[in-house]
Amino acid sequence: MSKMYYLVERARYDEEALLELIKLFEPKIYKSLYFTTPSHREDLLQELNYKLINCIWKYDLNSVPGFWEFKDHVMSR
Amino acid sequence: MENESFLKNKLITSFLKNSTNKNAYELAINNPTLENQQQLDKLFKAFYFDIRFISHISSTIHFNAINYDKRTRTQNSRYNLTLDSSIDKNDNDNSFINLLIDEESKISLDKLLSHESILKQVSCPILYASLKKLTKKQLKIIELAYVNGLSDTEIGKLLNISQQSISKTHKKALKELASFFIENKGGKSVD
Repeated sequence: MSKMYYLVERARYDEEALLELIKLFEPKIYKSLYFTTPSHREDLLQELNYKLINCIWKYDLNSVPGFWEFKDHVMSR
Repeated sequence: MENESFLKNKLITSFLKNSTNKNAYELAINNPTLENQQQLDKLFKAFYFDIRFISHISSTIHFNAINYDKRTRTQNSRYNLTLDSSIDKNDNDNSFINLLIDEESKISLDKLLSHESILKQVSCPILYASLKKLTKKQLKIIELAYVNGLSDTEIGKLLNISQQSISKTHKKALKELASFFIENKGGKSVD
């Protein structure tokens, strides 16, 4: 499995793994701050970090399809 | 062949660009044992997880940021922070500050009277003179009882004195007023 998979798996109980994932998505979050006015950016930063952590914790690790499963999925479309 | 369209899938082409993945794929096709297929499955899962997870997170961040901005905008338009901005864009005379009511500025006769001391409200000269003879404490109790209409218990609570003591002072004050009244009136009636 990929490095990120193990990070997400560990993030549920390991704060350092969680922090590493947050750092990874930091540029994306900072870019998204431009959607709002400068006075609201700090609030939005906090909000997005909160959502990100929630997302990481709730992500279903077993939902990734295998090669054959993916093939069936693509062909059925 | 149907497999051809599958192989043209962008995800699959980029997956097969990696030589390890391609070898595993060819091995699984040419020699379809369970072990080879599982190896391919494993490689694909590792490859696909990153893509799926990153795209999921970035779209979540993207849409949450947009929604947050929408929310703050509607909130700001509903709860305006500037009082002097005009209510109607075409009408500059009316601003939000003109809609505010100052509850304190309402004037009622009762309120006005209750703030005046009893001495300023008495018109009878004898009563005025008799009230002046009372001690400060007696006057205060009489005032609270007859101008503000409080009971002895309420006055007690207000001045932090027991109800019994208020009652005693109250009675004594009334008695003094009465005796002063009789004295002076008696004097006058003799006149």
